[in-house]
Parts: sequence; structure tokens; C-alpha cells
Amino acid sequence: MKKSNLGNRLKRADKLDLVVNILVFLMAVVNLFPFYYLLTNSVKNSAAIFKMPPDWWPKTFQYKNYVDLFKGQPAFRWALNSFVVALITTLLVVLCASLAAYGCSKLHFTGRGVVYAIFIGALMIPKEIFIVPLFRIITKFNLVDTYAGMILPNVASTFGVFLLKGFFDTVPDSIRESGKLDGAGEFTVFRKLVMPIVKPGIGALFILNFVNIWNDYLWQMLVARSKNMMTLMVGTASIMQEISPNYGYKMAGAAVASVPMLIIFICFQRYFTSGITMGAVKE
Amino acid sequence: MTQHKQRRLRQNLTGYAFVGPQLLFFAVFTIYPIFEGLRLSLYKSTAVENTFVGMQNYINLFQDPVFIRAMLNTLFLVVVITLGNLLLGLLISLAIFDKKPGYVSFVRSTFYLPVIVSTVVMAMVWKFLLNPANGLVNYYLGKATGKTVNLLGNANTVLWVIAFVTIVASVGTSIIMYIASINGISTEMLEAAKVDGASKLRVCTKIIIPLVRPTTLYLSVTTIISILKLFVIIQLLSDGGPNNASMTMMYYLYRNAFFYNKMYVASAVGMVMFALAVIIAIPQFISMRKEG
Amino acid sequence: MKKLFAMLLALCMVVGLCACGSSSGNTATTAAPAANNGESAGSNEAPVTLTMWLTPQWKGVFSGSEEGADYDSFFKEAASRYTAQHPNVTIKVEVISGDTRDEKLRAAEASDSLPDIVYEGAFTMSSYYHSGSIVTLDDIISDEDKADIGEGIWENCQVEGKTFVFPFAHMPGTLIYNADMFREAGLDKYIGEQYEIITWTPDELKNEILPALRDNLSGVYPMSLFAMNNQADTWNLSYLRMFGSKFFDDDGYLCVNDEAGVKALQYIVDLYNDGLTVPGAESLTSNDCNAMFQNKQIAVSFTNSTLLTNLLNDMAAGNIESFDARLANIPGDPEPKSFTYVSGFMAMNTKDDARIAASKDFIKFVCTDPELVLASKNTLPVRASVTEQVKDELPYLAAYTANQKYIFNFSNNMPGYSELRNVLFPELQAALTGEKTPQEALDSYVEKGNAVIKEGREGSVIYN
Repeated sequence: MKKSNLGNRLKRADKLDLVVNILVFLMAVVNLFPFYYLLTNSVKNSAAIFKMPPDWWPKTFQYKNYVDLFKGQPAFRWALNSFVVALITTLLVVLCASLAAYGCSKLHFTGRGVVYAIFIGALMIPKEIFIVPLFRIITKFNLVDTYAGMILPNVASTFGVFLLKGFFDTVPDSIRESGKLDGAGEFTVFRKLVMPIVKPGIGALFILNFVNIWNDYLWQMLVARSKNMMTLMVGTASIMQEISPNYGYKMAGAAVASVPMLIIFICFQRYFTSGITMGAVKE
Repeated sequence: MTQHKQRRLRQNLTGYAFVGPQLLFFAVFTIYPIFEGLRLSLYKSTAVENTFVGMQNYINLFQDPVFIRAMLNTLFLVVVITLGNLLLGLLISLAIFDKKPGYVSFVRSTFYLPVIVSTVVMAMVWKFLLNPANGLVNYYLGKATGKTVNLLGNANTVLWVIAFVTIVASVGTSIIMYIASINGISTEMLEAAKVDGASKLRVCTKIIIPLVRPTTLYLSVTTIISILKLFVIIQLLSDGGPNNASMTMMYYLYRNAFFYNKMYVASAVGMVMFALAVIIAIPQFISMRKEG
Repeated sequence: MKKLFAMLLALCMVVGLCACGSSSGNTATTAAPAANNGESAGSNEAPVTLTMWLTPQWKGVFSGSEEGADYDSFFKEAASRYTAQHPNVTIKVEVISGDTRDEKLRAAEASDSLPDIVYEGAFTMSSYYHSGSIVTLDDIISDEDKADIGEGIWENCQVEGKTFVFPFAHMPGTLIYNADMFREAGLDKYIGEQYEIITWTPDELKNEILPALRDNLSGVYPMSLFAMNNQADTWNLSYLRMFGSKFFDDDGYLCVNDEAGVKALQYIVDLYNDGLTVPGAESLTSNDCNAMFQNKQIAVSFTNSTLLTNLLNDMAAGNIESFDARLANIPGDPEPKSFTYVSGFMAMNTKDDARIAASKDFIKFVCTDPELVLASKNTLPVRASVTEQVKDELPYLAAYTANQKYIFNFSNNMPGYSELRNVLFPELQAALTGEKTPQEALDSYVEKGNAVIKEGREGSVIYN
């Protein structure tokens, strides 16, 4: 993506711009407040949390809430579950979607238009609408409380096909044809010649899908039955609903749930910013 | 001729092999549920009966004031959140896009933070902040107004609160998309405008906003769809209350399916929502097909 | 690229494995006892794995002061004792939250994946008797059991003479108050003895106690009140009976919109509007209120014998600051209201005869084992024989026993009771927020509730 130099060119800072920017900056700072509140309260004892007006900076730091959390709840297991579910779903999505996108972009077969139209049409239908029939399928296959039950329905999402097709479209046909002339099969061409070119698209799809699944809640809540199969989000919400007079413990749960994604975001920020936009913004 | 046919057959087979895996998942977990949902919605099934009732479930649905309320609430949230997300996202993007990269990155990241840490965590934090008896927000509002304030327990404010929290938790996506989209506009065009002496306001309204229309369209549809399935914020913040004032279609569906054990009602709601999603998606579908 | 593909492929295989691995969690665990079985010569019974769900009851096997005491301690101990005698049976114990119990059970019911055994309050489960998801236990109940457990307790576990729950413990519900705060507010004369359940009249509560608490204490809400969801709604139901409303008519339909019922709801709404309760009750849960009481933000709250035990344990362990907590009755005119939650074991209809038989055998074992039944002292024992054994350990026992005359049966074990619970709280919210008058709210509750009851009867396997 080209770096724009607009900064210099449009620097006729009119007053309105300044005012709006001050507001935006303030909002950005205010946006951080809930996280500040979350983190500071997670190290308070329960009496301090209930104090109004609050101590803006904790008077005493106690990490008991975190110790209790990891002792009383299988929090590591939850994080592992989230990771496994998000990773495997994403890999399957990348695999299926790249194959299908390549097919829809480069291959000529009867019904291609229809297939692609159906995929695009389904983009806009959230699977949550069909939780009842989906849940029946999962139970029929005996997948309640399993990773497979949490993973498989999410692979049906066609967003990846849509996103990657745009990338495959930009790959010139000549590359594919030259590969064919060398006697390579279609799959080899796809794997060896075309895939390397669309790597950025794969990266974007990977990260977007991973975050989506990581943050998925409703479906995983329904499928996870035992405490050990809960994902981090489901487990955290279950702490929230638990009978416990200690709000700090709940805060600690929420803090722990938000940390892994924050780390991933900080490490892969540029994929996030580029990935999200690629799907829709094609000039 | 036969050779041609054979070639055609091979081409087809290769094509199907490539789209096959995706199509399989799609058929099992998207197409089949649509028909199964439709079938379930036409039956009444309890522990003692499973009878075909035709459209009766739908008729009952539209006679249930709670469902009507859920539809209106969903509509309200769709309008307010979509507008909020788009306007705020666009405004912020326009304000910052021509500033220093560090500043842009800071603003973008802080607004994207809530998206990244998930709505579950966001809903939890806001629930604490909005707790009527010992939450920070209501405490200071109470001090300021001299009355007890409960934003979540007031039928007039609860939907606004939900809309607000949802916007905070999702506007980051709009900002990222708009900024990228604005960065994609050719610099010459903006340069020319500047030479003509156009103010930033003018550049924004006359050039940028029209040019980012595809982004606006895409965002509006994805936002609408994500509001249709809005769940966790409702569950953790208001539980649909007070007195169903924040009941939405998705929450109504969920309640019926997994609370009241009325899968047939839930299926009917699902079909109504499906119809809605299809209607909403048509413009986007057309524009995407044109591009694709 | 090759590597990427190898990785993808490998991962697909992993998925495959995980899919099998996790879905066959059951088979894996059943394999283990099978191996055991080979060793314990003579026993040739097929291996059985049972799943048991419970909502949080008491912590520890026999006492919350044990090391590592948790909600599942007792049930795991019981399971391991049973497995020691029946090596072919493995029992997995899972704690589920009360808030999500119905969702979990409904989902399990819809998908034929019910747990084998449930330990829960009898009244919360009555819908499942009617949907055929719980099997009757009359064949494992002996005459000694019938004699040892009181008539009123059995009544809570039966519909139309069939027993669905093997009662294990019960928990009377009362109010609880912070006596330190009462002293501070000059309310000494309303403080009862340490192990007494004091009775206040509705007038005393409304006109003396709560106003004094409101006016003399800062940072404290006088009384808890909650209506965000159906949790702990039994207290709300009790308040509605405060002035003598029958609640259900002779045919089992609601009639709480009578004069006494409306008067009671008006009383509650008045308390709320006068700042005599927590603010924002319409969006508070019982958990919120309980937490605030424990953190000394509420003076009068609700409790039952288990919550009380947990509170005292938490104080002893230093998890919360100690204070002088004492019990009071739910006020009523002419007499106070009291109720008890009977909890016990249920065998679920998994449609697998071997598992059902094993579940019943386990239930019989836990409910009759002379040592295990002692754990019921953590709430209150249902068995007269146990009560006799542990009475010296239970300082509140005398007070609870004396209170028994005020007990009413609040659920009638009717079909659709869990749906009925979900009709009430929106109406309470409407009344509290002033959207409806108490009369309107109760009229609406009765109308919707009776539709639920009617529909519940039509869909009940017991009535059909």
C-alpha cells in the first residue's frame, strides 16, 4: 500500500480540523479507560472495588485474584482450547477457501458462475440465525463438547473465497499457462506458482479469521459442555455469571481473556490493518 | 468432438475438485440448515407431539407483542449503530488521515483495541461500569443529577446504552477501512484540489466521501448483519430487560431455543431473520458480483 | 510453499484426530474401567461411564474448611467411593452454573445428550419431569427411606404420586441482616439472637427498620432487591405472598392478581421508590445483591442455609471482612413466610437402560450410605436420623425447625415451571420502573403465566 504524503499537502489546518482532532484524540484516550479500569480493579480486593468514589490508583496491589483464577479455573486449558479451535478452523478455512477461490477465479467449469454467486450470497447470512438446525447437526454427529463441533460449522463461511478470489484475479493467466506448458498439473500450478503470489491475501485471511473465531461466543458456548472444553471467552463469561462476592476475581478473568489477543495484535498489527480492508476496498 | 467433450469433462472435474471441499462444508453447514430450519418452523414439537402446523408458528410469532418489540428494537439498533459506526468512523478517519503516521496509528489502535479484546470482555467491563448500585457511570450521573440513575434499567435509555457500547466495540473496524480506502485515493486528485484552493472540508465532502462509497456500502452491510446477530452484549448487559425493552430478534430466538425449549418458535424466528438478511444483502450482492 | 502445504496437511490430520479424539472422549474414558475390570476378577459387568451435573451447592466433602474444598468435592468423593465398589462404573462430575442450567439442559434434551445424573433443587427441575427427561425413582426408595424423610420433603419431589427426585438435603430460604449496621443505625431492638430467626412485621420493616438504615448509614443500601433474571426469584414470590395471596388457585392456575397480591407488590414498589432498597433493582441479579451484602453495602439481604454456610466460611477464611450476620424471616401478615429448597439426585432419561440402571444404583448408594448422607449437614439434612446425629454441629437447626410451620410449597411442581419463572421477572421490571402499575403487572403475569401452565399441561408426558 502506498504511503501518502497527503500530510504535507493538505496542511492548511483550518480551525474545524483542529477542533475535530482534539475531540478525536480525547475520544481515543477515553477509549482506553475501560481497560485501565479493568486492569486496576483486577488487583484490588473486593472491598476496594465496591468503594465509590473509586481509588483511581489501587491503594494496595494484590495478585490473589489472578492466583485464584488459575487455581480455581482451568484458565490455561481455556486459552489452549481457544487457540486450538481458532487455529484449526483458520487453517481449514484457508485451505478450502484458497482452493475454491482459485477454482472460481482461474478454472473454467460448468456452473462456475452459479457456485460463486451462491458463495457471495451466503456471505451476508450469519450462521447464528441457524443455531437450532446447526445444533441438531452437531448432536446427530455426536460432536457436542468436542473441538470438531466448534470448528466445522465455521469452515462453511465463504468470506475467504470472496477475499482470496480478488487476489487470484490479479494473477495473470500467463503464469498459469506457462506452468501448464511445462506439463504441470492444475494442483501443482496452484500450489507452486500461484499460491506464492497471493501470500499477502492468505496472511490477511488467516489473521482475520483467527480473531473472529477467537472472539466467537454464542456457538462455542452452546457446543462446550464441560468446563474443560470451554474456550477463553465462554469460560470468562461463565466466571461473570458465577456466584462469587469477589468482583476482582471476575475482573481478573476478563483481563486474562483480553491479553492473548492484545499480544497477537501488537505483533501482527500491519496484517490487521491491511487484511481487513482488502476484501472490500478494491478500486 | 469427443476429444473436446473429454477436455470439457476434465476441466469440469478439476474445477469441482477445487471448489468441492468448500462446497461440501457449505452444503452441510449452510444450505442444509436453511431447509432444516424451514422444516422445523412448520412443525409444533413438544414432548408429546410433533405435528405439522403449516404457517401457524409464524402467525403466532407475529401476534406476540414481545416479538414485535424485538423486531422494532432490532430495527432501532440497526439504524443507530450503522449510522453511528459509519458517521463516527468516517469523521475520525477524515480528521486524522492527513496527520503524522504515529498519530494516525495511535488513534487507529486505540479505537481498534475494543474490537480486538472481544465483545465479551467489553460487555463485562461496561456491565461493571453501569451497575446501578455500585457502577462508576451511574455513580457520577447520580451525583450530577441528584437522582438515582440506572441507564440499563430504563426502557428509554437501555437501547441507547447497548447501541453505544456496540459502537465503541466496533467502530475501530470502520476507521481502519476508511483510512485504507482514503489512502488508496490517488494523490494527484487531492493535489489538484489543493492547487484550486479547496479547503479540507471541501476536499472531504466533494472528493473523498464520494470516492469511498464502496467502503461505505460494504461497511453498512457488514454492520447490519453483525447487529442482526448481536448477542453477547445483550446477554451480559441487559438480558433483554427491563420488561423486554432491549429484546432483539437474535435474543428472542436464543431464549426460545435454549430457555423455553421451543425450537419450533426459534426456527421460525430464524427464517424471518434469514429473509431479512437476504433483503439487506441484495444491494451488496449486486455490487460485488459486478466487481467479481 | 511446500512447507506451508505440508503444514496444512499435517494440521488437517490433526483436526481429524482431534475430532475423533475429542468426540470419543466417552469411549476413551470407558476404556479405562474396562482395563480395571480385567484385574478385578469375577466382575464381568460391562463398563459404564456416567456424567453427573450439579449446580454449586456446598464446598468440600463434609465441610468447607477442608483443603481444596470446592463445589464438586463431595460428589467426586461419592463417585470414587462408588467406583471402588463397582469398578466398571466411572462417574464424571461437572459443575454448571445455575444461570445457564436451563440452556444446558434444554440443549442436551434436544440433542439426546442428557447427563445421566443431576443434582439440583427439585423445584427448578419440574419442567423436566413433564418433558419425560427424568425417570421415576420409586423402585429404589425403601420403606425406611420413606419413614426417615418427612412428608413435606417428599411432596416437593413428587408429581401425581411419582417420585422424580431422591431428596438429599434442603435449604430453607430466609432473610439475612448485618447486625453491626443495625446497631449503628440504633435498631438494637430489632436484632435477634445469634442463632435465632427473628420475625419483623411488614410495617416494622417498611416504617422503622429500613428508613433508619437509609437515614443513619452512609454508603449502605437498606435492602436487596433484584429482578434482572429468574435467579433467586423465590424470594420475590414470597414477597408476593406477604399479605396472604394464595398465588395458585385450586386448579393450579395463577391467581396472584388478587387484592392481597397487588398490595404486596405495591409494598415492594413503595420500598423501591422510597430508596429503601438498592437502586436499579430491575437490572440487578441476586448475585449482585449477594455480593454487595457480603461486601457490606447492603444491610438486609436474602440467604439460604447454603449461602449462609458459604458466607461464614468465607469470613473464617478471610476472603471477606467479618461482620455479624443474623437471620430474619420474610415478613408477612398475619404470619411470616418461609420456604425450603429440597435438593437431591435425579436419574435422567438417557434412553440407555444400562446407564439408567447404573445411575439409579449410584443414587441409591449416595442417598443411603450412612457416612455420605452426613454431608447433607452443609445445608440441612432431610433425614431425621441424620438430623439427630449432627444436631450439635448445627447451631441454626433449632431455629429452622421452629420455622417449619411457615413453610409453603411454592412451585406445585407444575409443568412449565421454569417457563413460568421467566414470565415473572419482566413484569416485576415493569412494575419497578413504573411502566405498569402493580395491578397491571400482576394481571399481565397471571394472563401470560396461565397460558404457559396450560401449554405446559398439554405438552406434559405426565398429563398425557
